[in-house]
Amino acid sequence: MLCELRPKNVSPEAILAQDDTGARLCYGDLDALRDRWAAQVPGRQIVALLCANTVPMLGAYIGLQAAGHTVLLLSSKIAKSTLDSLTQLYQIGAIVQPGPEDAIVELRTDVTAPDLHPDLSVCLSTSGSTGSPKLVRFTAKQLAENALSIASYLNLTPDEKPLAHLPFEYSFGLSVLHSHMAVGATLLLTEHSVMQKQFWERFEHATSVAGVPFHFEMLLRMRLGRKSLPNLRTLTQAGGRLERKDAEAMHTIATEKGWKFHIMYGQTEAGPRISWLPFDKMASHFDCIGYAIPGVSLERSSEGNLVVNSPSIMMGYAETADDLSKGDQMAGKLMTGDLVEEPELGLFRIIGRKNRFIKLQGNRVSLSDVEIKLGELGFPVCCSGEDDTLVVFTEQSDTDIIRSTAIGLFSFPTRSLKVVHIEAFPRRSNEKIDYAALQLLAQEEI
Amino acid sequence: MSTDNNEKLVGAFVEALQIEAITVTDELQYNTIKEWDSVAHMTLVAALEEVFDIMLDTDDIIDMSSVGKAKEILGRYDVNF
Repeated sequence: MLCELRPKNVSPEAILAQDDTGARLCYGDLDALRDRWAAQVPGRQIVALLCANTVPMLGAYIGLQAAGHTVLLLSSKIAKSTLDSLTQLYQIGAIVQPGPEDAIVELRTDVTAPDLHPDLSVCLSTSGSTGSPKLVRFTAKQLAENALSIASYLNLTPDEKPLAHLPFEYSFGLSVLHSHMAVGATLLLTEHSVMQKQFWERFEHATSVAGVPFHFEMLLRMRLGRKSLPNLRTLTQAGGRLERKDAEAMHTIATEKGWKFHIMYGQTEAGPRISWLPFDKMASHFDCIGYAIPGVSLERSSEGNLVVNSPSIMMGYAETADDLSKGDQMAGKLMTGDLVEEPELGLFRIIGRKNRFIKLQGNRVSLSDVEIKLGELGFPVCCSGEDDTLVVFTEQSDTDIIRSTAIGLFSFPTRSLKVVHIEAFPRRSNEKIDYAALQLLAQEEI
Repeated sequence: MSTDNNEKLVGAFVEALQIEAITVTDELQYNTIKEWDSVAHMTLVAALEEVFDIMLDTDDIIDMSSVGKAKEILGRYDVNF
């Protein structure tokens, strides 16, 4: 159980989290939460939790998990149709979502509870923003191992107060929660964004902040370097490659202010952290993903693929309710699909990607998912792009309707999406889409 | 001069948000149209800083919640309308 991550000697009055309303959750409250959620959702079920960075929703996550349920973490912005189809597919027994004050629980009586593997504890979606029906399965132990590794390499202490603004359904956000719980620290939960005054008010009290490239771009534009942030010590970036100019700007500001700015690399399937680039290696290796974190070992396969050996590799994927009964299919080994080189012993640099994924503001988007979902609605498309720009090609002339449908369906940031009319999709001799040619066309649009 | 500034302001909004000049009225507010989201706001801030040769403070960037408000804030940087 993840609540066993808390240090044995942590005081029951120590604060685990404080949210925007001032509500607090103490380490001593966790046992009562387990009892409450065991009573509120009977039996052992797969429960969908629509996350929010508030004390009630954090409490629901910890309580459900401690009560032995399998918790599927989802965005509270998920489209109702996507949630309905997930509920159907996985025979979800309860849906827990944010209410005006406390969490709201909806028990489903029209489902047949699937067989859940005894160790199956947490499920995440492979692609948060598309709400992909494909899930990543974890045991509590796998996630706990990663949390302890993070706490060790970042030297986390009980006096840490991270500004926890990343959503928990996002593996990076979840790892911030777990790793700080492991040392008895205090999460400053916020629902506010960089563009809001309240974000900066709470930021003043924080000792650290974690973000994806988008957040650091925003922080830099918001004059991070000129703000007085007396308590800040550490900044960590993951969730895709930070542009070199931003990485350098961050490094310069951090050096001036005496902050530590680390770049980290991970994948949801790896639970999620894999490697990190310590701040003192930044200046010489801006473009690297760094060294394996404690407990993890990395190797480059003969095809150049990065292979990760880690106690935190997922049990496997789930695509049907039956998959939820399966045990560990990975045995601690993950082929990342990232092509790497090793400029120094043990230090890795990504030079390409085999998988059809891009990241928009840190959220992984499966290009195939976008193609399938738009196709189902009568818009056959082909997708390409790079991090922070998704290019959707269509043979139809009305690009506006595809654009608005895609934004309605996936909540893509509007400026990250380009819909382009094309006479005919490039195809290979076997009639399959020629994605390499498509990528070249996409480059012209970016 | 003030007409000039107005043109520059409208130009910055049009370019940064990719909207029609006619929609740039004092009443137009942040986050009420899909084109003016947080990312576009950053582009807008950069455009305003460039055309008026100023550097906005964090609080002013956050407070710039409408076209009217933008004019008021720019006034504090000696950009008058």
